[in-house]
Amino acid sequence: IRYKTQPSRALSSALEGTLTMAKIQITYFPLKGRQAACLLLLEDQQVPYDFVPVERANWPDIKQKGLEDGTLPFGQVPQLKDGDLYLVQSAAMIRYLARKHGLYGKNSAEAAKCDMYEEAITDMRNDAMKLFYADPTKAVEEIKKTVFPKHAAYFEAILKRGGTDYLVGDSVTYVDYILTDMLDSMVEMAPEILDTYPLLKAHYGRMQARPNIAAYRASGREPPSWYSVNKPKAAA
Amino acid sequence: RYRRNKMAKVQITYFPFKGRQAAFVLLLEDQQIPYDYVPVEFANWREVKQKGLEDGTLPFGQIPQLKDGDLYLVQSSAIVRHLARKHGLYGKDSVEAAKCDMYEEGITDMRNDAMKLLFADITKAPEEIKKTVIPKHAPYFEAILKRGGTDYLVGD
Repeated sequence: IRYKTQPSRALSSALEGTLTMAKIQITYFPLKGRQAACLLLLEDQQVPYDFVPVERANWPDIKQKGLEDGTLPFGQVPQLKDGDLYLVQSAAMIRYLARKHGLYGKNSAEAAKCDMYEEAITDMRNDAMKLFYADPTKAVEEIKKTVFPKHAAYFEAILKRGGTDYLVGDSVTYVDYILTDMLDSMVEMAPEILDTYPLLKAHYGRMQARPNIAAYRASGREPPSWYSVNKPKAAA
Repeated sequence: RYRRNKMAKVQITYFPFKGRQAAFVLLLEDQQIPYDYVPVEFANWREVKQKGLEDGTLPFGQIPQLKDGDLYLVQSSAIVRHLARKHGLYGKDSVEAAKCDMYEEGITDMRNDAMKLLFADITKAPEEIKKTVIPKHAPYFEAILKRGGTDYLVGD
């Protein structure tokens, strides 16, 4: 059977939303971290889910058990449970949700672009995290000077060439949530950082203004960011 | 039949080594998908990169790049997923597709750990990789293959 990029929306909702016996379950530390983009998707799309927090003190036991029974095949969280499927690796989780909920573009060319942009945003994230691990006190300044300008320019050009409200095509895809999460991290460290990137700033504003995302943010249910918990106390 | 009737072959552009094109070149060769390879010499790279950034065909100033008709794709993981979708190599349902994605990410993590050591000190890297990277990641995939019980990482 040739696997299609995505089932039709109607079929997808009928089969997967209504008839699914159990809600999706996300297991992770009580931080935004690597689950944040998935949560934005779930909240925006009003997909019911349960969040299972992992306390640091319990993590070694949970990790060991997950490695033994195969539900944490790499000894890492976040993990998504959907019925019998246990998924780890945040990028795999969000692609799974994207396929399920029609957020993977409208054809294979758009799906490929979603994947391409997700990989590039991951590169940006990795560059930023490298600086944090090297020297947290200097990281924000370095990111503002090097990582952000380098990568933001690429996405400003992509938005310009695309000419729509979304990174790919003319409706929301999973990569819009990935970008929004990335920009959340940047804006938290440097609120003015988007000012010289008008298209990125506009995209970010539109995503924040989506009713379900705005409500989620206002609800207080959103976990804290890694940065807010780990930022150097002496940072200006 | 559909593949062979397509108007144009896919075209791969990259430096003349395996690097980040190797996995999808294996896919193309194993599946007998016709393709053209456009090598980029290091001396020309700067120009090729500049042009690609300007016209959007190299949106991140990086290769490998796959051209499939009007579609210009970069990021090797996106390229291999596109070919997988196109040629029925993404598992038989959404659960298998998700496992494919999960394992690709896990292998990328392993690759990144190995590359970090190679870039740090190429002479010491093989020993370090044997002592740290392999013993960390290989057991994960040994366990995955054991639990799966088939000849393949995902499905049959």
